[in-house]
Amino acid sequence: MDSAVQLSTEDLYITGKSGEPLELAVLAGSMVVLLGDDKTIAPDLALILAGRKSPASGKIYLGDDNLDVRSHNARGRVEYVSCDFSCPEGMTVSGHLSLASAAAGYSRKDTREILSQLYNWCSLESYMDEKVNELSPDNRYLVAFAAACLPVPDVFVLQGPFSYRLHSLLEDLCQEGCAVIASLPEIQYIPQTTERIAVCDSDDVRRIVRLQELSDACSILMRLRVRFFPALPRAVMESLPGAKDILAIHGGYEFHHPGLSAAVANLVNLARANSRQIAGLEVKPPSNSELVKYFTADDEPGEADLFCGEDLDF
Amino acid sequence: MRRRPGFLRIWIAVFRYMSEWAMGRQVFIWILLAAPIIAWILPGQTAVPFLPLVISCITYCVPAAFLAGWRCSKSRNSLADILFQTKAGKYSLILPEILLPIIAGTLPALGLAALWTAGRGGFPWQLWVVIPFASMTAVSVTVLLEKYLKQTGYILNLLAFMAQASAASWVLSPVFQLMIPHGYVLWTLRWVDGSGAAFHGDIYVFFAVLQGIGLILLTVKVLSDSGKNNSD
Repeated sequence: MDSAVQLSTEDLYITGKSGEPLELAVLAGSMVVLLGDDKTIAPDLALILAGRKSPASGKIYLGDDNLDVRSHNARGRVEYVSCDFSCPEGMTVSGHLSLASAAAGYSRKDTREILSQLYNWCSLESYMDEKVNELSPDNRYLVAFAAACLPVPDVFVLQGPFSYRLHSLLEDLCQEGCAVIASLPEIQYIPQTTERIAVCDSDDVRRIVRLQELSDACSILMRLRVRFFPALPRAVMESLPGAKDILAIHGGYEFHHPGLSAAVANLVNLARANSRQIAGLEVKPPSNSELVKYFTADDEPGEADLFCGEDLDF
Repeated sequence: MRRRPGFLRIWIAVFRYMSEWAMGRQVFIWILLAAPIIAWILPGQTAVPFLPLVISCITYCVPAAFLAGWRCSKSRNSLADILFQTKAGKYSLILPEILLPIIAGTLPALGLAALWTAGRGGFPWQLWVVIPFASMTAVSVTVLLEKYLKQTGYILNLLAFMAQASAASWVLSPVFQLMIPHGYVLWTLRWVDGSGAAFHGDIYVFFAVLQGIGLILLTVKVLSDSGKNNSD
């Protein structure tokens, strides 16, 4: 796998409110997720990185030759796929992809060959003559993605959420040396092959973390919701090993637990010991704001933690 | 693979989707008929021969019928999303979307003008120029009025039809003849016929070209700035 830098930023201030410049380098064959919903800067940052919108200040360069992402020569090297993609009325999947292939510079003869490969790879064979606007949102997104593949770009910028079917295609692209940047609203949409996640809030990118760090944070921050039949007294619920911050909800409890499998095993035992049935069990992932708070906890002003959180037991 | 985009295929596709969008609207036929109907309803038109009036109306109404509402339409935004950021670039959309209404206005008008001049000693060169440039002005006026005046633009455009339609009755005012660009075709035709034109045909040609080029440059700027995911 090529490890050249496909996209890099220099002194990039996303908005006027951004405190520090964003230093981001996306390597060939890697995937970066911008985590945040519409209220955060993640969708705007995706547009900025795709060269579709101007940042407050700073530059975005493509490849090692420092080509400005907004320059004419960068066209076709960065492709942006919007989540609200639509086509003119009456445009079919094959019509759209033919138009995209003409714009990408394929001859008529090459178009036929390349499109048949693309239909096959994206599993779109059965939709060729369907009207794009009448497809399901997932299939429509797949068509937009297929069209974006035609110029063979170096960088893909995707505005999510997108279907799970796309994950394997993105993995293929990464293996071929493409860089992928995906703006996703919640953690459950993040593909397994993601390397880094930029946790965004309404003003800035607060932290860039690795997938494992995010995974650890989620296991700490996730909340479990359990409902028993018949209802279980709170005093009994509080005896559950490892359960913290227990809140009573309608028909059950919501609580933190450091380990999901241990929590489930303990809950089953607790129910059995008290002759109860588990009527509902739900794992609630942490919200973006909770993740931002978790990852920026060390940045908050206050007393310095000189001993890195260790309890010295004085 | 870094080849030249297939502009002809792109243009044909834009023509197709633009025509489908325009013809799918009920208002298309009303815009098309607006000026001829007004011209015929307004008093004082009986003095103007029917065919010149129709030729003049076609050069303005047909392009307007294709373009009114197009700039902000979903179809146009979708095409802009597909084409603007490609190697083909934004002009692969802007040129055909300007060209189609101009052709749609020019060709039938030139055909009818050829019929009308058949018994009048030939087709004067001024008409070859005035008719396409009048259609070009119609395209520009429609786009610019919509962009800068929104809904008011539609009303003003309708007033422009009326002004053009009623131009024949105010023919005695030379200033008015130069102020209303939609009338250039009519006055050139009347100059050919030797009745009612205040200036020589070359004067109308000069002003039609001047206005056509000036306004189309503004129109290209407006069209290149519009598009859902392509503007800042």
